Amino acid sequence: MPVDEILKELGAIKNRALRSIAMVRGIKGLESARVRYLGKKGQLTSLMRVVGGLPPDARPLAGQTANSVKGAILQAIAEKETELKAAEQESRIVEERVDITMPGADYQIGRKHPLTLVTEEILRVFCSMGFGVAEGPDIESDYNNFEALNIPKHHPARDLHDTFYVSKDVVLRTHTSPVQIRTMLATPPPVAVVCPGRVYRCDADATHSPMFHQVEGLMVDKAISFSDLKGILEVFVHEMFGPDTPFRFRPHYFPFTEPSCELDILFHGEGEPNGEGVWLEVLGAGMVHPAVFENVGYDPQKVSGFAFGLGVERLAMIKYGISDIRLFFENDLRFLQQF
Amino acid sequence: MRVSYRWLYKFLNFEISPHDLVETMTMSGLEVAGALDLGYGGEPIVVAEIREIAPHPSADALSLVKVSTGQGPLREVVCGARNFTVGDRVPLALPGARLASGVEVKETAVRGQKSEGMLCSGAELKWNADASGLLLLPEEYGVGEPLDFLLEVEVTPNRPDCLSVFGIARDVAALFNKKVYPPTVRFSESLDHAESFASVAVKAREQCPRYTGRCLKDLRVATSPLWLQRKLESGGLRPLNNIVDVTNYVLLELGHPLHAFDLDKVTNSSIIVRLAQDGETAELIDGTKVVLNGEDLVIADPSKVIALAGIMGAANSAISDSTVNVFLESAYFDPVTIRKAARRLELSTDASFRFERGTDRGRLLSALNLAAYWIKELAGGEVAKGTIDIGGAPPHGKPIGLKLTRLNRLLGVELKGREVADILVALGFEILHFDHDTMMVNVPSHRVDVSRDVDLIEEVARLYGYNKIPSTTPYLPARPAAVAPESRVESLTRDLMLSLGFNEIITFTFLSSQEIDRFGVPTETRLPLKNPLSQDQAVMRPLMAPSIVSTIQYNVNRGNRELKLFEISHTYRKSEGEFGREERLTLGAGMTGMSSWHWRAPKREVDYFDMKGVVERLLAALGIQGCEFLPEAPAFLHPGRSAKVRCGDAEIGWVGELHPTLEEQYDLKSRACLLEVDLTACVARASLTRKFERIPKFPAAERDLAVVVDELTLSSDIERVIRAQAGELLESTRLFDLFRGGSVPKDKKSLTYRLVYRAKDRTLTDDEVDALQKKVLAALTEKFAAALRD
Repeated sequence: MPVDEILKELGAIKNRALRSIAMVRGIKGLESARVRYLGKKGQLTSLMRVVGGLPPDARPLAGQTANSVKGAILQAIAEKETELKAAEQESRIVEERVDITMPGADYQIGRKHPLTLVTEEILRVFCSMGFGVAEGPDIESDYNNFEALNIPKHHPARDLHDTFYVSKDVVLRTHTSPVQIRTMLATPPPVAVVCPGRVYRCDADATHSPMFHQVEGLMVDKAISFSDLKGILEVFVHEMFGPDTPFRFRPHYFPFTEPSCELDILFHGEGEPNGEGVWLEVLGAGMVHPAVFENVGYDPQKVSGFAFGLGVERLAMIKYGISDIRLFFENDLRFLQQF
Repeated sequence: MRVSYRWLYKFLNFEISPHDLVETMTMSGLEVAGALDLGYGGEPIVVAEIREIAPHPSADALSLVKVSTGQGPLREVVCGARNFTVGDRVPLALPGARLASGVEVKETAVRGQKSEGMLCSGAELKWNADASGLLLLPEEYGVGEPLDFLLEVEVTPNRPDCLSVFGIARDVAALFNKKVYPPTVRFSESLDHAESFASVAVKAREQCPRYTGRCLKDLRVATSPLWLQRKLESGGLRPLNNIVDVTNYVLLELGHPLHAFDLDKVTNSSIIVRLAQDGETAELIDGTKVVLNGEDLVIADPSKVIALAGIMGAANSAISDSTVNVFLESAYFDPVTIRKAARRLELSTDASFRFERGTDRGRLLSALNLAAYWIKELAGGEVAKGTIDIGGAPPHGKPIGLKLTRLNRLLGVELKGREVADILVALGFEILHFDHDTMMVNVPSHRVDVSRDVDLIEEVARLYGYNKIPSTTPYLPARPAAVAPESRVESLTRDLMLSLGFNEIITFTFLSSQEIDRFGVPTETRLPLKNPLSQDQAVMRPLMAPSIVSTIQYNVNRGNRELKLFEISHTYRKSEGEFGREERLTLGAGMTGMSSWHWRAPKREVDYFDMKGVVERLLAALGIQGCEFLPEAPAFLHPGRSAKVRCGDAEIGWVGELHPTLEEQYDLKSRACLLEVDLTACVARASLTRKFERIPKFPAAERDLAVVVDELTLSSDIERVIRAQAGELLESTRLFDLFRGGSVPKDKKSLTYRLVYRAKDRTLTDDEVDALQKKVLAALTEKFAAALRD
């Protein structure tokens, strides 16, 4: 084929190719256009093979022209491809549009019972100060629940504990204090533990539940004093109710501590009469009675210590503003999901 | 105990406002739970001072009085009485106050003149019977103060010495380092000695170490005067007649219970203090008939029981309108004896309450004399000469040694000997001697609670003031706080349940036996309470399921239909263990309702598989392997949709849907799925330590295998064969499709498993994997006649 004919044909291929690429509507069409011109048997490829067979003096001009045609076609394909992809994504975006105001997936998250939350918070405060955690059974001996704690049979202090009996000498523990006894019987001093647990009294109304929860605390060492008791409980009050909460220690009576006290905090809340706040009792405490030490084989001349008992429901009621203790045990979902 | 502020005030020879009194008492251990205004509800009746008196312009009988209540402008009151002058203090009932009659005072106009309240007579307040004019109050009534307060004092069981007006005054005075004096009385006695009218024999000296009495003659039983009635009412007692009222008056004032016998009804005037005979009976003053036993202490005459000692008198010798001669008893009874009888007979009286706690054995005669004086004043007659006193005043107890160093160390203070002694002396203790560090202290007879040095230390701390003791933080040796494995399992379980969307509940650990019956727990393993509060809470729960189902029911009844609930608590059974019981930490969970109400989720009820997944996740979290789900679950579950979970030879729980019969009984309206896991059993099997495993370097080969098998073929059996045949190169297998119908014949099902193969040291070739797949299929075909689904 003469050179000028080849050159003419190259020009024609270029025109055809560019025109058909411009008319392509999709990626598939573009690919078949590419094959038509640039594929193994494509029009340009075939012609370039002819160019290869030209005599050496005729080759440079034809070769350069063929390459420039190929370059132009490739560029056109690339441009078209970019254009087509952009269009394709745009249409995908349009097609995939959703009503973004419809509700998202309903992941369900379980919630801890408020009494668990409060117990954990109490334990966190004391454990951060070095207390360990000890537990004991709900069903206890009369001895551990009363006698070892300096409450003999026929002691008037038993009036304060309306006790459930399982048998003559086995009771549902009326407080977590028997865990003190168990801990001291099992461990020599020093001891620093908090003991969470369920306790039971035969009493039921808006502020009393036959089953409720306490956290007991016990610290015994060589020279633990009442001022140590005050210091530790002060930290607790400030952690639990905020650093500015006013509090007071008030003398009280427990058979297993002496001196004994109750701790009140000044509470501002609903139903409180004159804006001055009301004093609410939050826990009972005291120095471990020497008779208790004697009962567990500790020498009251060599060690001293303090114990305290917190009512978890009471703290939760104060903290969350709950006035009826029964709500904790009815487990209405609408209650549980508030915490 | 209820105490009148004014009555208390009578014993205190210093100024103290009701507010300060309440505060001081509370902060010294006599907690005042409430202070009631005197009166009858509504606004208070206050003390007012007369400032101006002017005639009423249109009524001669009335005057216009201006009074001060200490604050605010003067109040104008229209008044009909004339017995007062400027400067007098009188009771003013503010608008809204109620009078003794129940009438409410209102702001009104009387003959055109405004009246802001009402000035009251003694009769209108039931203060006395005088209706002739206003009640003129003595100087001690502060202007603006309420007329009286009734203090509700919570006396702790260790302080029986504060179960009286005088006792409280004695403690309050000590707080201010002031003295108080008990009431002293003088009266004349007749010539004949008491012993010529009555004889006393104490045959139970241990139970009655001291018994005293007086005889009073020729009395006139009558209604008590109003002042006495008011005092009794302030203490919550009902007036009866002058004799009984005086004994109650002394009880309230001194805290010592007395008893008055109609001496003419005592056979031979012979009083015997003895233990009852088994089966002996008595009819008490309130009509109660009691059967006594040999531990009960009684007061008797030769023919009958005339009182249940320290608790209540018998009807046969009670004071009546016709009584003329009285034997007045003032005795000390052993606290435990009285308590046992009062508890057993369920008779708690003002007397037994005090005797149980311990009365002042040293002051029996003061109480006796005070009562004799008032009876003579109010009922006339004569008091026979002398007292009968069996046992006599008690000897002083052993003095207590108190070491100052111990006191200071225990309290964390630095008190001087002088300060400590001052406090103790103010409280009535006697310092015998004090040298160097040790103080020898005598305890007054009313302080029955003080027997050791710590008792004294508490007294010192109480009066010194707890809030003056410094706060320190003790040094604690750094020790790891050991976490019991059970607590760790508990908190892992709780976290898992929460993350799966379950809400934590806390329920009572006791149930009714009927409820447990529904769940088929054998009676002999149950732990019933001896004294349940109600039959609904009579047995310690042997399993969680009833509590969970009841909570579901409670919520469903209140419209909460989609529920996922769990509780970690204890279950209880009889066993050979400590105290014949076993407590096991147990997880109970329940779910009901639609699995999701999301708009694009398939609408379906939760079922067995939702709950089984929870068990599987839990076992994985606790690192418990090799568990089987066996069709042997308890009978209260749906027999076709429940499984027992077994780990080795131990049963660790069950999972399933509630039996349709129970679902109906509880009226749940929808399927309820339950699970219960014995966490105590899990503790021993849990593996909670984790070790890093290298992330695989080589790619996995995934193959799906769909087989058609008989409807009754168990998936777990197929998986077992897959694992056995594919061997070590099988990393995991999972069932991901169940299909019935279509090309699958009836009574057959198609199960599709995805098998993931991987070698640790190389990339597996297709040939290797294909060979294993063929081997698996061949075995399935052989064992289950499985066919490859096309």
